Amino acid sequence: MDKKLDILRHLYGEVDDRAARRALLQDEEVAREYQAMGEVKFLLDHRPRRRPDPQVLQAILAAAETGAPPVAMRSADRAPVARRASARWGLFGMVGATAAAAVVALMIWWPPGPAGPEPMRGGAEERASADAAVATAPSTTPPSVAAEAEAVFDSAFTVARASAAPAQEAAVQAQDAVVQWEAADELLKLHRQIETLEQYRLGLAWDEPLQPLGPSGRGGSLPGVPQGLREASQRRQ
Amino acid sequence: MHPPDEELVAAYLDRGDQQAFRTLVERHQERIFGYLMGMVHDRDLANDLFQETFYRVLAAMQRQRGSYDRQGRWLAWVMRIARNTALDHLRSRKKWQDVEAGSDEEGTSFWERLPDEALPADDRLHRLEQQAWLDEAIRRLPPEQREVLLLRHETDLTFREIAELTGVSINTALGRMRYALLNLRRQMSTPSNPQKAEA
Repeated sequence: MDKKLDILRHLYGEVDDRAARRALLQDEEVAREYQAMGEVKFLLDHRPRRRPDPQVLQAILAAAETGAPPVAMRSADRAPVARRASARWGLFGMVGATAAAAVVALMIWWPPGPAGPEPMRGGAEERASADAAVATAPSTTPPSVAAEAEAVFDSAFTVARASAAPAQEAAVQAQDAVVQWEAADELLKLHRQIETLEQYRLGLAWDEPLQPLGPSGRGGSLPGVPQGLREASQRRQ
Repeated sequence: MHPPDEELVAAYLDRGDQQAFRTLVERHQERIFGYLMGMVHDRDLANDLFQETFYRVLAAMQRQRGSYDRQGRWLAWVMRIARNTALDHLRSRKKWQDVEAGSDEEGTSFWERLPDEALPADDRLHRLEQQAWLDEAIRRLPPEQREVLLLRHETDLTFREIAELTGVSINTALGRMRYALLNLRRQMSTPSNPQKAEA
């Protein structure tokens, strides 16, 4: 078998022969390819698992229970969660567009003073400034106007977030109900921390040759440290 | 602790144990659904195909159509049905083209088929999270490479099982996987990769 194909079986643990693997990795080109493929495999291994909608499972289990010839039920009949979620995002889009127009009109009619809300920047910073702006609104504006402004701002924030996030991301969020609970910032942070720890763990291989610590003179990179780990470290800095 | 698949299959077929069948479906739902999602990139459609797959599975297990001969590899058998279900759909949409026999044995045809230019400079892509980006990168792979990658990563089939399932030699299956990984690695180096862009 071709060395470059054989090493793939080692990468996926289908061959448990360390001596053979070491022999294969003596070839520089094979070793380079092994590392490149290993980096991609790491990312693929950490993709979130996806599940079908609960209604689908229920329909299958019901068919299994009755033992009757199952009648195909398409998504149009099933009205799955994902379809409703998509419709909800569509509605958000329409409401958001209207709200955005209202915000523009409001700003023209009532330009913000020095203590007014800052321009939107995006992300958590944007949310914090939005909260601050909303919190200060009652002291300078009548309650009804403030409430209206808050509602308008919330809607505008929805629009800003929708436009900032790519359509595909929105689709993923809307369509994958399993992932939704993971969207909380704290959970995401925790998830990333676990991933980082795993990267450190995976970076250790007992049968790899020892490498000296410190920059190797190749752009400060350490041989033997996966690229994914280096990039993860850079992202966190 | 965890009864093997065949034990659960026997419990369902011989004693009508519904819980056994539920356990089977729940145990493998992510593998099968992940493969179908990767093949069609549409959650509603993947739900339909998942459901259709299990309707076919039930029909075969209940000997209404086809048969399950209890070869001891229930998941591989179900994956064959899932694959046929997906390919039936893709062929009906003309989104699947079988590879000519031997065309990838030399290991060059897939490289030639890939566009040389980098990914389109789409601003939206820069904001994608890593997973969304990876999904997109996988979607860009040639279908044969994508399928092997999905079968290996989502379904956890071995390369030999993948070769049997897809009707190719193990070298071909390995070759497709190799090119899939290297193509993804190459896409990781493009500016459209959010990781790369942030670095």
